[in-house]
Amino acid sequence: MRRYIKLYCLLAGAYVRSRLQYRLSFGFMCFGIVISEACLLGLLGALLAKFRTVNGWTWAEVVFLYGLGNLAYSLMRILGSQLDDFDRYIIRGELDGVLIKPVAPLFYILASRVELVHVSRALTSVVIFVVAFHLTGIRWTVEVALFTLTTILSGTLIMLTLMLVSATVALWTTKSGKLTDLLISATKEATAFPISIYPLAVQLLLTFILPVAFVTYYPAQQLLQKGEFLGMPESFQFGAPVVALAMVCISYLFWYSGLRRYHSTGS
Amino acid sequence: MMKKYLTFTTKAFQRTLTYRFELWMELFINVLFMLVYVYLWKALYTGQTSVEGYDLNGILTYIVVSQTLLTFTFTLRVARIIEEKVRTGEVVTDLMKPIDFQLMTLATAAGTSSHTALFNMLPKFLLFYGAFGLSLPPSLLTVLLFIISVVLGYVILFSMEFIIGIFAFWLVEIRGIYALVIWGLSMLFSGYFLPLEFYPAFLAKVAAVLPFRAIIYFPTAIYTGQLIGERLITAMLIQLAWVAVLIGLGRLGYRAAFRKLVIQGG
Repeated sequence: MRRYIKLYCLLAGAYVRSRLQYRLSFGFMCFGIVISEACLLGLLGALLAKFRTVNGWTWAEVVFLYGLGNLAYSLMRILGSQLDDFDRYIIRGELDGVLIKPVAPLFYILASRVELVHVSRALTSVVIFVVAFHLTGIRWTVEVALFTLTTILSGTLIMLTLMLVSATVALWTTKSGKLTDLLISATKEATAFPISIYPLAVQLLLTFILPVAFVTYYPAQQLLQKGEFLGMPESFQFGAPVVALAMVCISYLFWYSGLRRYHSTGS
Repeated sequence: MMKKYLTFTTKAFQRTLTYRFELWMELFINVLFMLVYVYLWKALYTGQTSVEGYDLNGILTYIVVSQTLLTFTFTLRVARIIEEKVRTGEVVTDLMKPIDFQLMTLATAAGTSSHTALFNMLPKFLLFYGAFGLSLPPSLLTVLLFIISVVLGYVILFSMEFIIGIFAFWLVEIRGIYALVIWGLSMLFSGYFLPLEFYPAFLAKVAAVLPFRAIIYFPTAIYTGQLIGERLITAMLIQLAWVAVLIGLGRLGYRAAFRKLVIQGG
């Protein structure tokens, strides 16, 4: 275990240092992310200035959802950006090199790229989230803080494992292109609004197949006391950690079976 | 003269055909995205009949058309391709060819994008058109003007990406500027998410001086019949002006970059 922690710091540190060689582009990237986040918030603002509520959710509550989802998303981006263009490993045959290293391949892949530029997104999300938290009138207590923290961590894991599943597809198809990126953006978008606005099929999809409803919507039921359960069990509001754990197991099994049948592209 | 550029277009078109699975998945995810927005607007319109001149059917038509046009924004990879070419040095072979670099890039992009238009945008639009009973443009002439406006908007988007790509000659990495312009400003001011009529006054004013609304808002508003008569003509003239300005800036940029490259290569 200690070896792995040390190794993680070593690999991640090497990547971070290499990125920091180009300070200007690093700065630009952070700036770009912050501005684009601000622009998206501007859009939400323009929308809700006109309409006040979405399906009974106030503007503060929607921003709350948005901030929560974005926080999980940015943490996932910091830790799992390497999965984004995972197919590169297969197309260029780099995976072969990873497989002969004396560490777990997935560990090595994740550790070799820790994307610090997304810290800027995370910080922006924290600000948005805290402001929305305040506006919705939730009181800070120890329980609320713990619940929020668990929710954010579970949300990060849910998004990370979804990304892993989508990246793993490339072990069969060789090329997954922008698939992973698109899928994650789509699901992130879907978490920004209460899923009660969608038809049943989409609600089921976001609850059971791409379970991102557990990143924002269900936990928000507990924090905002909305009492919307769409006919699902009320215990779903506490379901995020369970779903995250299940997703970790499923995605790892999927990854593992993908690796077992993997044979090099041979070029 | 035109023929050699058309070769780039057809080659790019054919190249895109090879990745079938990827394209199907892309389409599936795009549909998911659009569903999110369609249902969001349905929820927003409960209890309202008309907002800023858009009834429910009008707004859904607007959203589906603008979301369909947005496909160009996230499938066009001109900036990334130029960056890659600069980083690997492949750009040198392009510059040696007896062709115009900008036109060649445009011709290649047009090949990929016409594939996108035919096999992604059109089916997606027809699906939503049928499922949600959207409206068609008021007349055949509008259809024609809409198509011209879409093409002009596309060239504007291309020129922006081209300029961003050219920055790669000076910066190692352009993802920051790309995120800033395409994922930030363009998203906010192109009108893809909601019609510009809905914007608060000051945001609408900013949008009016920027080129982004010419990419999505103009063609979409022509389709829905919001822009007619004199305002339609003005809109298309504005589009033409932006095409001229941005293509011109791109040319200046790439000439400067080319000169710089010669110095480095010496």
